[in-house]
Parts: sequence; C-alpha cells; structure tokens
Amino acid sequence: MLIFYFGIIVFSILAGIIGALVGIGGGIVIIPILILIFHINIKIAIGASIISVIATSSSAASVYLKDKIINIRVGMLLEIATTIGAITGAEIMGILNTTVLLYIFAFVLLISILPLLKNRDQEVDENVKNDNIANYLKLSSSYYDKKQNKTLHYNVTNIPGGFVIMYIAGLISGLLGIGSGVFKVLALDDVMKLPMKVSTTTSNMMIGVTAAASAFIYLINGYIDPYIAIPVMIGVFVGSYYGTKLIGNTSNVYLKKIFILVILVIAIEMILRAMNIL
Amino acid sequence: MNKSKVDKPRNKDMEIIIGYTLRTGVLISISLALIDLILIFIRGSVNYYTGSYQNTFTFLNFIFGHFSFLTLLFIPIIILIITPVTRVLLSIFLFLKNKDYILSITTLTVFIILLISIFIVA
Repeated sequence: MLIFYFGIIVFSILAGIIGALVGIGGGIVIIPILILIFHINIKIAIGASIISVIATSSSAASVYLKDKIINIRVGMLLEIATTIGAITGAEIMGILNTTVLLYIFAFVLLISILPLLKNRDQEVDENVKNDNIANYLKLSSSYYDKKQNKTLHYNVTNIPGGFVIMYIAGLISGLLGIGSGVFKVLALDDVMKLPMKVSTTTSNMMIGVTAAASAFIYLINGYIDPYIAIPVMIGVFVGSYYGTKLIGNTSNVYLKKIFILVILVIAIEMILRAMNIL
Repeated sequence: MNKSKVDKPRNKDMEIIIGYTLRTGVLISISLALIDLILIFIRGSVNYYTGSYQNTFTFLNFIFGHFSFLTLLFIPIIILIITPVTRVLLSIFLFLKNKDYILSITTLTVFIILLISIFIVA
C-alpha cells in the first residue's frame, strides 16, 4: 500500500513538471498515468485530476494577477460560456462508458499536442479592431511587456466566435477533468486576437472556475475518491511549481520535444487500451 | 499607439484582492491535504471510497453529519473547489464598487451558473 501510494505521488509530481514544461497542463498528463500504470478507473482519475487542475491554475492565476497581465473583463465574460460547457460535459461524462471516454481522451490528447508544435509569435497585432461587444464592455486593455520594456495596448475582436469555442473548451474540461487550456488559448489568441501572453494567463484564471463547476457534480456523483485525489493534487501542484521555474531555461527546448513525444506515446497507449489490445 | 489611458478601465486593487483570495484558498487547502496525506500514511490503510449521493445536501450530511476520517479527507477538497467560487462572488462586489455595472451583472451570471451546478444539476 505504501509503495502504491508513494508511486502515485512521484508520478503526479512528474506529470506536473511535464505539464508545466510542455504547456499542456498537469491534469491531462496524470489521467493516462493513473489509468495505465495504477489501473485506476478513468472516472476516478478524472475526478482526481480536476482537483489538481483547480489547485495549479488558481495558484498560477494569483501570480499573473499580481503582474496585471490577465484581462479580467474578458475572462469573466467568457466564464459564462465555459461554466455552462463544464456542466454539460460533467453530465455527459456520467453517462458515457469507460471505452468511449478512453477514445475521446486519446483524441483530445492528440489534438492538444498540435498547437504546441507551431511557434507562436509574441507580437501584438496592431491591425485588430474592437468589435461592438468589445467596445461596449471596454474589453481592450494593455499590459507591461518585460522583454520589450514597454506597455503594449491591444484590442479584442470576434467575441461571439470566442464564446462558442469557450463553450466547447468548458465541455471538454467537464467531460475529461482537464483544464483544457489549449482550447481556451485557441479562443483567446486565434479567434479573439488577444496577445499570446494575455491569452495564456487569462486562460489560467478561467480554468479554476470552469473546473469548479464540474468538480461539484463529480463530487456528488461519487467520482472524487479523496484517497486518490489528495496525493494527486499535492503531487501535481508541487510538480507544476517546479516545472514553471524550469521554463525560463532555453536549453529546455530539447526537453520539451522529448516530452511531446512522451505524450504522443501515452495517447497511442490509451487508444490501444480502449481497443482492449493493451 | 498610446491611447490606453483613455479607454481602459483599470479595476484598481481588484487584481490584488482576487489574487490574494485564490492564493489563500489554495494554501489552506494544500496544507490540510498534506496533513491528510501524513494521516493516511500513519493509518496505513486505504479504504477505497465509492458511492454517489443523491444531491449536495445528502453529500454534505454524509460528510459532516457524523465526523469521520472521510470528513477530514474531504475538507481540503471542498475548500479548493469553493476557492474559485469565492473569487467570482468577490468580483461581483468589486465591479459594483467600481460602478462597473455590466461586468458586475456578467459576474453575477457566472456565480448563478455555479450555484446551479452545485445545487440543481449535482
């Protein structure tokens, strides 16, 4: 029992480090580990993951809030979409069987890797014009860029498009117990044209609230086993903390590529598990 | 390209207050979870817990109705889930204080959705 428990903690720390380094989040890494290595039921793994997601995203958000990078107004507005999505997702998760959930998870894991492979530019696109909603709600903002040593102003566009993607991001979060930050960033950065730095940090703030919406549903449905959730939440939290500290190091580009490969292998293993081959 | 002063409502202190709320909630939860983890190791046994509850009230009654080790285990988890909910609740009042009524209503909507997830859907 002690070894089993110790194993969960060690692997949760590792998942947290990989999740932070690759920029995919700890939850999406720990779920397949719990299933494949520790033979834990996928729904219990999902329940443990969502708890770790709240811990890591909330603590990261508190740092970015202090640095005044997060666009609180955009975040609050889109949380309407993500929380409704999360409730839908959590309800669907309760109905689906294990095999279907495994397939969906593997699929989402695979498409989550794609955006990591492309180099995102950090420049602020000055041609972006506010749409009507952005003007009305005063969503355009600015942030201080440390590298360029100046305050950058930016506009926000296509709120309805962002709203739709955010609903889907919330749905995936509630369905699989992950933060689904990749999809939130897709809405903020690619659809609404917020600067990358603002997108990733604002997404972090939204993840906690989105996860809370589905966490209570999991709790009542009995998917949160505290004996699993507690070591996972502590491990992933500690791992993410150290992972974030490691990001600044440029030599980690190579390490990042290896980890992306690791995630790819995990996704394939999950598909094999779903097909009953593994 | 410097028109930021004019059209940018800076929600003064808001970042600091809600950032502090999040940090405090997470720290309390993680500390209690660490104590729980030590207790689990000391007890040396893991009783896998399975079971669903009809609704939030039966759950809360089951957990807090009679004090058990399970109560201790669920406390950090519940504190953690409530942390972002508290952040949303606080934001409603902070936006109101800044006379930012539309955003206040937006945030209230998020809060109502969270209440629905806790008390109606769950």
